[in-house]
Amino acid sequence: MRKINRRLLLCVLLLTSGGAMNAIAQQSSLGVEGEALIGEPEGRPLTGEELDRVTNEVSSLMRCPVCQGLSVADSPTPSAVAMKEEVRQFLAAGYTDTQILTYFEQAYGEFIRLAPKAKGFNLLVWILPIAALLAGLAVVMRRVRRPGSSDAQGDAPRAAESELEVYLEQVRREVSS
Amino acid sequence: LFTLQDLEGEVYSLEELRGQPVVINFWATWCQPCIAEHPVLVAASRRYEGRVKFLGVIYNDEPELIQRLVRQMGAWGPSLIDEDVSVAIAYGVYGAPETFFIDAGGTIVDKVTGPVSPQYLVNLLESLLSS
Repeated sequence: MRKINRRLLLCVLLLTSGGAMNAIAQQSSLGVEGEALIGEPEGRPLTGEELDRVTNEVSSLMRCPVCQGLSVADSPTPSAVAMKEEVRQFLAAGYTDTQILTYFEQAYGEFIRLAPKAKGFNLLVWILPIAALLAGLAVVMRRVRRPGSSDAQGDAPRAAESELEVYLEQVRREVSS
Repeated sequence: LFTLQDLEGEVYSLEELRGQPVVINFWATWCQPCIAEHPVLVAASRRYEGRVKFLGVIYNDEPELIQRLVRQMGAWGPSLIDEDVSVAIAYGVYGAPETFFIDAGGTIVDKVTGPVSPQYLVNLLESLLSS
């Protein structure tokens, strides 16, 4: 809280002294894009169990930058723990999950999101698996419905029966002789 | 923008350093590439003394261990204590060492992940000083 309050104070000072655009320009020109870019808190400050729950929810959407395939919520590394604590401070100050993800995205890029945003080129990630599933289903349905289809599943029992018949005929001959 | 204290308690504000190139290096004593890189930064900080500001930000490490190593190997700049890792997070640091180069206007112009080579460092600083 102390840190976020300090950041908010900085934003207020920058905004009152030079206008919003100056504040954004000053922050971004230094390379650290902080709260000036995510604006004022757009939600309500969270506390208690709700704060714990939402902290976990938002952290689970974020990729731990020093792990492989772990979310910030699941990782025990100091960096992930620090990031989770920042998420908690943001939520306690009233920032929304969208604002928080935007803040971390400014530092780490879209990499920080465990699930890519469903827009632009990323849409392929969401659409392709569904399209592939539907195409597969269509192929299966067409083969199943085709009359007299000779798929492997249909041929296999017939081949086995034929071999068995040959074997039985041989047995009959040997028994009768 | 950040304001941090070094091991001696002196406060450094990035905003106050505007006007000269700044090198910010995130490092730790547990990081072997950081140890390998240390002499390179010591030499560069001496070569560019008064023209380029070198700042070290301690990344997930104990200040006492940093102090001991600096005593052994020499200092190339103040070692700033980023206790809650907030500066490293704001810079999008993935691990140590990572070095950020900021021009006199306050814009990050380059970032090196892993140990920075002497030649690359010199070339970049010369380019920053001449622009």
